[in-house]
Amino acid sequence: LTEASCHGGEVCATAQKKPSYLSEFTKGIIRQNPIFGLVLGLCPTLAVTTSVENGVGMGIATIFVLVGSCFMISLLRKNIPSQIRIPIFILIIATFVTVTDLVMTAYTPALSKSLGIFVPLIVVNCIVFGRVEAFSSKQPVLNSVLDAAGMGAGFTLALILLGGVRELLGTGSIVFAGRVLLSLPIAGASAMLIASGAYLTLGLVLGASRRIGRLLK
Amino acid sequence: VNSRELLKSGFVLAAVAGVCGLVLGGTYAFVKPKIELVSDASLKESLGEVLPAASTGFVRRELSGDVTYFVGLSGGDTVGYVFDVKTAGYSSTIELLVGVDSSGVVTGLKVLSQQETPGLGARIVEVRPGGEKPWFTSQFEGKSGDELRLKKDGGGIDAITGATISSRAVAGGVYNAAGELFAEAKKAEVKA
Repeated sequence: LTEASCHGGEVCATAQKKPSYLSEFTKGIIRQNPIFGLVLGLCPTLAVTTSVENGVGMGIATIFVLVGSCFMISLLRKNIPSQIRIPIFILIIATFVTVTDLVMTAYTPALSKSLGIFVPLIVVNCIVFGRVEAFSSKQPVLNSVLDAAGMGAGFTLALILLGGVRELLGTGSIVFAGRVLLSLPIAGASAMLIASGAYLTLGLVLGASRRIGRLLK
Repeated sequence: VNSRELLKSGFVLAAVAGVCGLVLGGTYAFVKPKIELVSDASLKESLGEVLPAASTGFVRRELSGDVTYFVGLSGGDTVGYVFDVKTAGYSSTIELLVGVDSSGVVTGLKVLSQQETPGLGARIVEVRPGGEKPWFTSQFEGKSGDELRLKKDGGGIDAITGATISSRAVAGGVYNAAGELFAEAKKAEVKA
């Protein structure tokens, strides 16, 4: 987690100057995408990407937790003694997660049932903890919120992409909010919906994204 | 670490924990009625699934030994019962809703909660690709009496490979519901 001091990896060498607010937001979407760039938070990624709908639900829940936790922790960063920062981070993150879980159980019961244990498990999602420890505990509030929103958006887009591939190949169509968005003329291969399909899809999409990234350079 | 720093750390941690506690308590109090409403609605839906003939609704009753059951009504007639059965599985208590028509034939079965081993016992709720209902529990529909046991116990139910204990627990729960509990519920009906 040494990237904190210089806002990450490869940009470090060239850009020692203060990053713009826009790049603070956009870096999480492509360059440092939590899944394709940083390769963090893979457990929920593998588990919930059986459909686009799950991806959107999980993504929104994570964005809420991420932005809320990073905002609070950035706000309190000067008052948090460093030797007890970990328990304080966990308290704040767990509170946001529990609130999210309760609200989803009450207002979106079907989604909450289909995401199951993975909403409470946002507590231990490396993306949330990683951004808090590496970024928002050291950066101003606005930067932290933009960083969190960008990372959350990048995570959500990655989940939608993976969920889309798996749902399309697994069931033969993509259904969102009760409407068929896309459908294939062939039947789905159910292997795409189980763990093996999750690994296969993640591996191929990750590989493709690296390849594209290298070509663009 | 000197004692002043220690005191300060303790104070900050306690303050953060206190605020978090208040936020959680407040949120819980706010959403609790809504969560109860949602779980009531989902119970109603589950009851309808396991005893579809009960078009008018259900009346909640209790049997001795803390067993809750629901009398299914269509018009003014009793068309069957739904029993809320808890049975000891391999690694958890499995809670079942068992629908039984007025002649003792199982009309539907739904697993309400279970924490069995994923990939083995948890397959009691597995839905096969292309299917709508879990294949294991669907086997009980239309069966009664001794047919509700596993094949290896002389009945008509295929066990889940590698999960005999979980399979037997579910079968035992259904057998008990359609046998003993069903008889008790009928007796209670006659008396009333």
